[in-house]
Amino acid sequence: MDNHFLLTDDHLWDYADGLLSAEENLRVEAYLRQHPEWQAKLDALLAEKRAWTTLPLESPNAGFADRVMAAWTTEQLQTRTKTSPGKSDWIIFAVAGAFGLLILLPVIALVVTAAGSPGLPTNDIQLPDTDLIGQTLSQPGLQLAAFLGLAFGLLMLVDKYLHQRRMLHQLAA
Amino acid sequence: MAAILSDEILIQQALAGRQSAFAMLVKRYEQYAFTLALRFVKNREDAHEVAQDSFLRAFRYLPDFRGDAKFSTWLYKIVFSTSLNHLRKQNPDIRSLDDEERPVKIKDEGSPDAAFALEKGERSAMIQRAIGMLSPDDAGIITLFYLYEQSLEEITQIMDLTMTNAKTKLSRARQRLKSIMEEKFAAELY
Repeated sequence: MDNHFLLTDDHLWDYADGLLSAEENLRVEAYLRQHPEWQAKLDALLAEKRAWTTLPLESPNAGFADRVMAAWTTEQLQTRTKTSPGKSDWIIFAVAGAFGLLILLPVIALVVTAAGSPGLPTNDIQLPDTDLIGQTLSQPGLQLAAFLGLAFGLLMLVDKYLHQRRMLHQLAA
Repeated sequence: MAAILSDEILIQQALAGRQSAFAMLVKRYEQYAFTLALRFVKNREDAHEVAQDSFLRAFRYLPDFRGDAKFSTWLYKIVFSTSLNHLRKQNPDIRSLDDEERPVKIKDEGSPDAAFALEKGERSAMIQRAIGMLSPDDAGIITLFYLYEQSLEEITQIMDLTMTNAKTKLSRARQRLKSIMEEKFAAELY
């Protein structure tokens, strides 16, 4: 036995915690055999350690897991909204479509009116309905109403888009 | 009887987009994450916030989890860093959760919790009270090593320490815990 070896409390804890090398373990065990008071100390220390390792865990409040999952679902939805333009940017396409329609409508009206005007060859086919549509579309009141309707719809869509953008920013914050 | 799925299988299922797998991981580790967060931040309300943030961060970075450490070790590392961030937000001067320069604070002995624990004479309640009086770092390392049975090597990963530092911190933490228990609860314990 190593006569110069002196056991300390810290060393004893390391022994109990399994933190010593095999060689150090042998030295401690030899020392304990020679010093029963240290063996008693080790027994007390092991009892204390047992108490430390068997402490009950703290429980979070009821519904904690549900709240975590709700937050996770929200985060996933936000990520999807941000990364899939096909789904989230339908409003932009709708606005673009409305603009396109606004530009095309007078052109269509012009074409229809021209098709129904006298002097143009009609290949002997009578198109009374076309005339009727052309006449209807050429009424200024109707054109104004259509324009106002479109402008109103457009503004509604822009407002909806801006509202959605605001909501996303708030959620992200 | 339903088989208990391993962490690895649950992670695979979660990565495949199965929400129930995420939920099972939360259920499995909620007490561990919450207890560890509570040891660090010392306040139930903040511990809820830290534990929730830790799970969200873990799920966000789950595709990066390589599996070379246990999922629990990886999660505890996230809880540790989330706690540190949380405490830094409250006190920007905090550089670590260590309390080396400050003496151990023995606080609120007269609180109903303490009185309740002493009346009941429950050893575990007293130990928990004593752990609550340790610095966040000391309480964390004691919890990780003794309660969660994390090896010293795993603790170096969780708390970003060298092996020597981890060993020194563990030794110092148990000395402090022992001295608090002897000082405050000696009559009840011994």
